[in-house]
Amino acid sequence: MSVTARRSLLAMLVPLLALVVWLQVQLDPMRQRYQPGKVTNIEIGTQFVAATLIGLKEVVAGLLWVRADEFFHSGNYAAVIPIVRIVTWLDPHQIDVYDTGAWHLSYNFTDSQERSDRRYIPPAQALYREGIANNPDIYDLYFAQGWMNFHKVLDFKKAIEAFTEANKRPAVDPSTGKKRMRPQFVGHTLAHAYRKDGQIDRAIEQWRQNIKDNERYVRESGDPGEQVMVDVARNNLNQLLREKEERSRLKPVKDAKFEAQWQFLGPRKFRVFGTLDLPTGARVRLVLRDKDFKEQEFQKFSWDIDTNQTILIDDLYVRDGRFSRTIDIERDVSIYPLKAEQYVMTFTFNPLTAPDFVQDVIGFKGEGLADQKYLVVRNGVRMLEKSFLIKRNQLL
Amino acid sequence: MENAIEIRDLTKSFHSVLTGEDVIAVDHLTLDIHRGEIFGFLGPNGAGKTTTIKMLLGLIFPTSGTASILGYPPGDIEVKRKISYLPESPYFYEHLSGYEVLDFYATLFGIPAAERKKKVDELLDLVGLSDNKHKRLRHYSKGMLQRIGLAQALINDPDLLFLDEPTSGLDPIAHLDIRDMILRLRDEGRTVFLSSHQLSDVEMVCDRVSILDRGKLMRVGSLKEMLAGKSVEIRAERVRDDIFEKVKAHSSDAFTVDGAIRVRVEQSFVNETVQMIMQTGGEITAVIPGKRTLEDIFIETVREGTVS
Amino acid sequence: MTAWVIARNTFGEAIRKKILNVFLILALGSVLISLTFTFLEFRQQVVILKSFGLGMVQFWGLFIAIIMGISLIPADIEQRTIYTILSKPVKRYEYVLGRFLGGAITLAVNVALMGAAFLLVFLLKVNTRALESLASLDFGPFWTSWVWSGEVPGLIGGIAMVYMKLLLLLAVAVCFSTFATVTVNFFLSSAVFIAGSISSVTEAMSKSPNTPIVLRWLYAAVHYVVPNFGNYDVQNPIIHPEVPAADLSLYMWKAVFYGLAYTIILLVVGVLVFERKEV
Ligand SMILES: Nc1ncnc2c1ncn2[C@@H]1O[C@H](COP(=O)(O)OP(=O)(O)O)[C@@H](O)[C@H]1O
Ligand SMILES: [Mg+2]
Repeated sequence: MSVTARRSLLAMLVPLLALVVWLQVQLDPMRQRYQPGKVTNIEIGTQFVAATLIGLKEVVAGLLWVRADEFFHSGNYAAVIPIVRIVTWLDPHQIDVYDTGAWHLSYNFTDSQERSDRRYIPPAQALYREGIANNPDIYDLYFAQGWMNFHKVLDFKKAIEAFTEANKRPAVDPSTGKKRMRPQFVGHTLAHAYRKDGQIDRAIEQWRQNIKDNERYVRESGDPGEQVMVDVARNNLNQLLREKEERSRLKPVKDAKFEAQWQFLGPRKFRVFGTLDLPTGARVRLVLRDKDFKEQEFQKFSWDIDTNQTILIDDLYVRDGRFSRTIDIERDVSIYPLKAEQYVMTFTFNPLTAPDFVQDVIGFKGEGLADQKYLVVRNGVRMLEKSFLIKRNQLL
Repeated sequence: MENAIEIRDLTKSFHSVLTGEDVIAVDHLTLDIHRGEIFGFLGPNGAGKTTTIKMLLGLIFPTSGTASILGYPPGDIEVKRKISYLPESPYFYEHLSGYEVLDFYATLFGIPAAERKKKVDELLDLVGLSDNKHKRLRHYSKGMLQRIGLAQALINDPDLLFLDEPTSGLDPIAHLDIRDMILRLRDEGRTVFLSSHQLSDVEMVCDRVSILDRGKLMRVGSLKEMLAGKSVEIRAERVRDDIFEKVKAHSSDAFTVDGAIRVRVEQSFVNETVQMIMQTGGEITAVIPGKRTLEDIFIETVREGTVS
Repeated sequence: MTAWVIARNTFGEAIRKKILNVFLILALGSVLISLTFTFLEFRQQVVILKSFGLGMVQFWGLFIAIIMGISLIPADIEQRTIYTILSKPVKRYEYVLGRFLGGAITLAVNVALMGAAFLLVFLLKVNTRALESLASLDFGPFWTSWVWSGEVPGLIGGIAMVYMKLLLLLAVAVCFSTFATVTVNFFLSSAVFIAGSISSVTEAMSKSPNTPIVLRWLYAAVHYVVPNFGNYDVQNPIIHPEVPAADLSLYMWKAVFYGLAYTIILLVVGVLVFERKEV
């Protein structure tokens, strides 16, 4: 190669390098859009860290999630949560991981009598919020968050909020990767939530909307089998209209003779019992909590809960007008540390959460309840509630 | 132009990382190779033969000095069309068959497909590998590989061939084959630069030889000249005393027992001596070419080099 | 032209080496492993399959690229096959280009085969239901329920990005092989690959006010001068088609140009060094 050729090749390197740097400057701001995953310094093993560094974040996320499943099946729920954290950091679009993680938090940490540890509800909410912030365009996590509030927390206002967002958004078909209409149960659940919250007219309106939406779904999917959901929505609408009609005539005539009591049986062991003259299947909610209990707030997802707090929630089943249950939390010191000096024990009967056949007697919002004792009206709902202020030594 | 290769003051030193010293592999070599000759490039192992050839081919670069091959600088793309190289114990792509490897090399010369096929088949025939042409080189013996090496060196009808130790490690029959081949190349008018430390080959085929030792050129000349002027041993019986005395005058080494003599005379004097003995009734029993062969020269040269 | 002859031969050599088949089987195997995670939700299974598919094509491709890159030229020198090639009318730069091109083709074929195997597995996976109807010899539902996933073009784009990344790595290793020994080159190329892969880190560090100014320059130098392999990590939006990814194809084209420009730089450097190399 001649000296001139060498020189010109060398000279060529300069503009080429300039071109490369220029392209890199162009690429950098765009690149972050497509690389949402974070590299973490949490212990996941050197080989995994190395793999995340060379563009295999999603593979590591997948492998960790598979491992988490093993922990889940071996009952080691505590080990699952940190993995949820890492996986969703590595790949913030792992919708099912957010959902599963929040579900673990809200349902699976249970005491020896199968009551879940309520202190994990705020972390679960935070995890849903993070998942939604990262995946705001599809219905999935809004619905999942709504479902937790609907089914576990019994906070119907929050549930309605989330279901409403879910009901505005599409689903994605995992087989084709294409967007499609969300499943019909989203609108149905929203209508149920309205009803549970006592907003009967909104519920009726939502059922009407559901019928239209479901009809569109049948047209768009081209699957006549989906017609069944239209019929379900129609039936539900009709039933609700009928119930509304019937219950509007209710007067406060039914005295449920609500009474509740508790009895110390031993350290961390007590009996709760009482009467409620309503059909078998009604439930009384028991809450035992620190007197100055305040739900923890999480700006960011963390499972670092305040382990000094105590909150116990149980639903007491009414049979033949009575309820009774022995609460034994001797083996659950970590869940119920009982570190506060004073506690509030509350027994609540809330008509909104009562089953249909109970509401048939007392109405959607307790319109038919004639109790004078313990009656409280909250947001237009007539509830029955009795509270005790308890000292720490009364429980130990 | 008369010279196929002109080498001027060619020097190559290698820096040894291990010892930290410079090894001078080729030391101010100046040499001309004529067109059409078979030139024997001799020297013991490590003399610098391969280093010289690699410089001439442009595979490595001289520390100083110049060389011109067919009028071109080493490594020039044009000259590479006209020359060829058979490396010392050559290696080829083992995943290819004999046919494929020659076809590959032919393609590098830009020989068109149709011609290529004919050419490759011819060459395989020439080196006697037609029966094995579809076998992978992995399964070739050393001799077969050497023949492939020769075939690839002939693919472009080269004017000048560099053969580096073409017979080393081959059995005697293969030796003969290679020798015949080289002689044929000369008959076809090609120039052959033959490096070897195997003197028997060189002696039979070379026009001129040089001897290289530790990078330095020790001798160069025509083979005839180098061997000329060497003594021949004559044995005879019934030699007259006066004749013996006469012969003895020309001889370096002579002695007699009862009319049986043994003398050593210069080659130029052999005919005369034999005639004298025969004409005076003596009987020649043996004329033995002097022990001085290329080997003698070689050893002598290398030894002189060592002493000096 | 001569470079092309050498490239073809290089490719022929590569495909006759069993080692590449081994990587192909490993890649297929690791994709198939992800099919066994049937305990997860279907969507999660599909996500993991896609992650694994793209990831494993890259992972095994890395070995192919680095092993080929560090050995293509040194193997010829080591085995002395280079003598008979460079003494033929072959220019040194043609030889370097030919070897690289042959490696690039080999890499392309390997990535394409691994990618095709992955896409096949993917299509079978998303058509689990259609296949079940096939198993029950009910061909009608098979035809109606088979889907040609709209994700296939995206996945092919992802595989192309993996290829560009590997091609750039091949160029790095080939360039270094003109002056470094095989072992040194293995570590050198791997180090460059890692340094060039953590571009998000280097970029952030070079801009962070907490970094000392000298280090900031160093990070910026690493970020802009070391070949940026991180540019090709765009698998996330491909794995999650529901996530909007604006201008992704524009970005991918720019990344391709970046890779080609850098490959040319590396080849020019390699050629310049090799011109002076004693073989
Ligand atoms: N690449 C190299 N590096 C260092 N020394 C070398 C190299 N090549 C050859 N030599 C040395 O140069 C001398 C000549 O070697 P060579 O040309 O191969 O001899 P010959 O071919 O005559 O046997 C030897 O001492 C050898 O060790
Ligand atoms: Mg030699």
